[in-house]
Amino acid sequence: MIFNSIDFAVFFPTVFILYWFAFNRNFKLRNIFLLLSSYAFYAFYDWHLLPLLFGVSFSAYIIGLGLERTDSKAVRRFLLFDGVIILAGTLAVFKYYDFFSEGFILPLGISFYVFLSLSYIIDIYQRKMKACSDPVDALLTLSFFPILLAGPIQRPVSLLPQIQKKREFNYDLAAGGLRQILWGLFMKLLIADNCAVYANDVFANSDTYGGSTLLIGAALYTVQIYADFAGYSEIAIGISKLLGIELMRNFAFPYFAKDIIEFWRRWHISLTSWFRDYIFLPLSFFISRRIPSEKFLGINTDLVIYIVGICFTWLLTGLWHGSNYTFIAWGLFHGSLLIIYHVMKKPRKKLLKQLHIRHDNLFIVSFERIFTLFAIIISWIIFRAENLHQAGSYISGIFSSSLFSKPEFAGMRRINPVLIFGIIFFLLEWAGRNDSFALEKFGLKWKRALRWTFYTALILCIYFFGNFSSAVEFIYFQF
Amino acid sequence: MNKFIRHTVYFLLILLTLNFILYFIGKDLYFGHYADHSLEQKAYLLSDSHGQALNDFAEKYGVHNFSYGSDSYEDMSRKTLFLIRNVEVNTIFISVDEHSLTSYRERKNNLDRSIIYCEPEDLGYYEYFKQRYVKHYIPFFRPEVAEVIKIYKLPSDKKPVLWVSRSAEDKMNRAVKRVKTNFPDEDQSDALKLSLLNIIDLCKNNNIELIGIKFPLSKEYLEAAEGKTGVADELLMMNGFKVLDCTDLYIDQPEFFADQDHLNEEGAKDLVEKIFSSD
Repeated sequence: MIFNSIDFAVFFPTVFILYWFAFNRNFKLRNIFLLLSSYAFYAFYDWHLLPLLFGVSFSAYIIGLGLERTDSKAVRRFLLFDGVIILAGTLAVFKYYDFFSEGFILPLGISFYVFLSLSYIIDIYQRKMKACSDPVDALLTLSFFPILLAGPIQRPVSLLPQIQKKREFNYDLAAGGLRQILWGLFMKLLIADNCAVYANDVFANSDTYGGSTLLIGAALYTVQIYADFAGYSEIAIGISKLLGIELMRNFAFPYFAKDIIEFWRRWHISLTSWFRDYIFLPLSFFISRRIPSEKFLGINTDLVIYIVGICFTWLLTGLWHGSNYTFIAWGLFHGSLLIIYHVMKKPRKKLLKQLHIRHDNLFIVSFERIFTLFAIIISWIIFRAENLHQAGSYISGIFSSSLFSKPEFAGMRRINPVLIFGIIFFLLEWAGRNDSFALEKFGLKWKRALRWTFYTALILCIYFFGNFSSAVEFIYFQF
Repeated sequence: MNKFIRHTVYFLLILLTLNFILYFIGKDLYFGHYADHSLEQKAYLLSDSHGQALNDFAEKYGVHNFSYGSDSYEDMSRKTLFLIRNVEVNTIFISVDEHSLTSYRERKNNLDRSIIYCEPEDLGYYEYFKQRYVKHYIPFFRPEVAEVIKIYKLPSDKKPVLWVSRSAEDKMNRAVKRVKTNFPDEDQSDALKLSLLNIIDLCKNNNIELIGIKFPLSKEYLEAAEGKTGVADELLMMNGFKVLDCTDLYIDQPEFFADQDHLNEEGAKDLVEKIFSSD
């Protein structure tokens, strides 16, 4: 069941009403109901995969209990090792089997709920949280339906306490949730799915288009993947708010970032921070303990640690997305950008100082923003391409003499609404860039009639100009 | 909570009002003609826009035109079942054009409209309720209505141009574009194949003669579609049914075409005479 389906429009109001009205007296019963709803939500897509979801979350629950009940370092290590092997192994089997054999179906959301379960056991091992002894609360934390299919990869350390306490209805939270859902639908149906029409066409026929069209196609995909995935995250967070549960933010206007490090602080925050906390930092500490000297092979040890940590983490980040060399190349491309930025940070500062230019100079900041965005666009070409060969020819096609030719699309006339709503989208995002999502505070001080007129207009825009024809699924469902 | 419920109800009332407006604007535009049919004949023509172009010209030969633009084999399968349930059918003429089994036709169809010809047990009660009532009465769940409203209610400065009066280059460009739309890839839809096989089985089991028709195409379209083949006609022939191949019937008569792959009134009348009067 996807969020923008009729099935969900029937499912969620039913869950909402029963949750707040029928099970409002007994919060244990409420959690049981929410757990069953989560299973129903997942089973609706394919009930054969329900045992897998249950198996993953139940394994994490049992291992968590085991970790909690022993103080023996060796036993705890053994349990953690077992848990990681079981969970990561399950993910690897389902996700990478088709490296070798075609036709293997990837269970929906597996990358997300396995990472959630991994967080749970690692956090218990690191004593950041206590294991939950109540199976319902634990399983609900690891199978909560709004985050089941494509995240955010919520940390159990913040989700579990919310599941365990009695939740009271909060008007502001719920109203904010509704606004967030509306914004998510706007992003997905109006922006992402309209961009998809042109981006898909350009990528499918990349060998026939000139450089300017290829560049615009890549830019449209850049908008599409953001609006698609961030749109999904906004809907998931909004739905969760309606149930009285606050989730972590997953996107923070990433394309407004002025450098690549800032971009990764703003893009898919739940995954990036997951890799930072569970891979990059532990690996960096591990290496630093083993290289006591200040220099290693003549290079500053900190830099060596950073390079090794970044390369390994970004290789895994690429692999997380699936069994295609394009994802690995995409991960390593970003890793390289981060290393280059890291290496250039001090010389840049020094150069600006010598030239008596402030680091926040408008021209410099604008140039860096555009440069960062361009690097990101190139990276999305690698990510979106069918294979490395297509990625290579697509990028070389952009940097050809036809870059300055007139762009040409199939159905060019119909691109006008995309441009108009693209501009509205950009302006609203810019206006709300200091909030957690564009509509969080936008228009809140207006009179209610005006505000509701604005929301109604958004709904009508989605209805009349959204792209429903090709039933485009959320991009991150494939991961 | 009370405040939230109050505000939600007020806002839903606004949406409900809009819903009614959209429903009444969109009802006839989107749905009206699709439900039009007659059950007085014993022979029926099932097709997409190629057959729809024949209008009611075949009625005098006892053939009711049950075609509609964008009908897929799944839609036609529903209509076949509907006919079998409601009338004694002797013959069904069905289009077996090359593009009938493409992924384009699988995507672009009338499944949300042909639901009116289904019974709950055909789809299961939940799916039937959802398609027949929820989508029907809540146009917000039926974005196709928005498309139709945009097409028919918004002013357009387009004037119809006769196919015959278009330049050779314009004709060719349009034909190439249309072929690209009709054949987005080389895939043949398994779902549509199954639906066609279902129609074949239904006809066999109910002693209905099934006759395939490949509708006439312009010279330019045929040139552009060189090498694009489907297997719908073969499926019929393999099951012992005949196929009337009219593809290149008017290859040198552009005056019979409304566009690159649809007949105009004159062409439709001529084709009806050729197919149904001699049948």
